[in-house]
Amino acid sequence: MTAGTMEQGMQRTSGDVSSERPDAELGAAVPKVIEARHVRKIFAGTHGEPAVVAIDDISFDIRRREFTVFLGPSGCGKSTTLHMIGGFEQQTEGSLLLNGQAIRGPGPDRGIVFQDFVLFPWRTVLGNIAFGLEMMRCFTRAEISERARHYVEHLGLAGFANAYPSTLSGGMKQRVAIARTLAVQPEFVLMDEPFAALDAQARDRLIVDVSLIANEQNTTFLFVTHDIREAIRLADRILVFSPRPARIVESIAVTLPRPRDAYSAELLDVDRYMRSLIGTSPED
Amino acid sequence: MENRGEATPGEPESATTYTSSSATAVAGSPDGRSRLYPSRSTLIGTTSVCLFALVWQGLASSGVIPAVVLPGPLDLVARAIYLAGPSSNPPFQLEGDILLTLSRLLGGFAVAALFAVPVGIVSAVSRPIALVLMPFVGVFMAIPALAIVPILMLLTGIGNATDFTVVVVTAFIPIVVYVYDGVRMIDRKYLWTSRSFGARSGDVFWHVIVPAAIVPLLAGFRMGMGYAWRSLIATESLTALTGGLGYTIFQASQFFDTRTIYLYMVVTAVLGFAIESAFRAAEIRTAVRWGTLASGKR
Ligand SMILES: Nc1ncnc2c1ncn2[C@@H]1O[C@H](COP(=O)(O)OP(=O)(O)OP(=O)(O)O)[C@@H](O)[C@H]1O
Ligand SMILES: [Mg+2]
Repeated sequence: MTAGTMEQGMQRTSGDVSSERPDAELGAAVPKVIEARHVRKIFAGTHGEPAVVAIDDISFDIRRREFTVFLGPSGCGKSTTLHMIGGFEQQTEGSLLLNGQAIRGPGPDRGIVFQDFVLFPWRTVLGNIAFGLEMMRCFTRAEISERARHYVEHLGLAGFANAYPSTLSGGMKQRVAIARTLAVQPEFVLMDEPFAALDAQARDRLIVDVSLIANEQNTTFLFVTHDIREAIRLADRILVFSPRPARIVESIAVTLPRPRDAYSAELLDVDRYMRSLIGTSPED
Repeated sequence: MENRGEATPGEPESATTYTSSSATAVAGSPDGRSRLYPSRSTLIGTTSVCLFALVWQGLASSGVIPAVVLPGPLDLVARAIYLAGPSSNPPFQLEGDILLTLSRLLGGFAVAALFAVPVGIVSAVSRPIALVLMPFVGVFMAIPALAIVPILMLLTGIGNATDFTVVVVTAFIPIVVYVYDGVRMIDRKYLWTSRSFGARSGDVFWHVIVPAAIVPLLAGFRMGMGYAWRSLIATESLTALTGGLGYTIFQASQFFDTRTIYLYMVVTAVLGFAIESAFRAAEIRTAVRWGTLASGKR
């Protein structure tokens, strides 16, 4: 495989991906909003278990509005990385800066979407989407309702506003979770394998919808997956994680226009290239 | 249910229609006729109770068992009419006893819940606090309520305060234990999600922890109420000046007044059943409606 065949769709950087690098699409003028430097995470063993080195040493930069995908095999530390950015966990060593500041706990600037939705079953679809707006305490009830209804429509949930989550399909539930997160217009949206529990059809439609949302929103997406195809269809940049303890082995910029057809020739090219690069498929 | 209004702000009328119709479907038959006709399970239950009363009355009327040992249901009805009327001593004794016992039960229970729920939640959230508090809960759980009655009588006299305190103490422990376990079992991602929306502690408490732990919370209330109810009836018979269902049962036993004893047993059972039904109704209006607890219908 020569570099020439890849020029149309992607660009590759190996090793320490935090250093200044030529960036075809975004350019150096786009500010770095997340800077990770030699981040290490060790989970102390409880009840006599040995400590787990989840993340060995990772460094990376994320620029504003960049759709970054963390790609890597199961158990390699992708979720842990996301949890540290979300402020739910703290790194053991290294520095993790968000807009130049050390991360201190979760905040409404970073919304999170989990694989298993984590909807509030005691709230209707509309109630779930309104949750974050209520917590902000700066809107009237009418404003909250109006905004929440906007996101009901936006995520294709019309007609389900008053349904309880337990009555919805997996794809619908994830749409509610995404709507709930987008409704407060966070600066970052963190997504942890959000489509892994969905059937192929629902997943496909959500990939397209999230691509479109990413195009129009002024939001930086951090998206965890172990699915190469999903990564290529969504990412501006893919950070490839090694097996645990995590290191970042590649940074790949994908410059195809979105939404991307899963079976276009360019995409299949990138897919083939990625698989040759990673060696074994990270899916197993 | 007080947080429902906030859960769905500015919802139009249609929301109310949706939720109430779904609650009906869960509570009664799926075709929603349960409001007009008694459901099949209610009919069967009523029939079996009536049959039981008939057999009982037959047994009592036949004279096989002496009326002192087993008065019939009709005797109890007569007794109830007398005790509920102005000519009993004191007048309206039945109503008075029910009111006294219920007020002690509900008042004591409210106080217990008011303290036990926060204690359970705080212990579940903070490991240091759990380490300090939980040993006491374990020890108190092992002490039967009646064992503390003599000490309470020394401390507070043989009046209302003892009955009331017994309710508080016996209801407190199971509520703490259930709330503690229930809150610890909440998926931490609920807490993460709410905090990533900037929710404050009070919001997390009311909007996340309480509804997320509603099933164990209600289970704890049920257990607490059950323990308190039994201990209260027993304690009332020991605190001999204060009236109440337990007191009257004890008095009646001194005079072999079995009709009053049986009548009060029935009253006790009916009240206990009503309390249990209230908890079940709370469950149906919350966890069953949300789809997080099976309706239990087969
Ligand atoms: N709270 C914890 N305590 C101890 N070990 C943990 C904890 N959380 C994660 N780990 C360990 O850290 C490693 C990385 O976990 P992580 O969940 O980040 O992986 P992942 O890349 O998201 O994998 P998956 O694809 O399975 O979601 C795993 O070996 C996991 O067992
Ligand atoms: Mg994970």
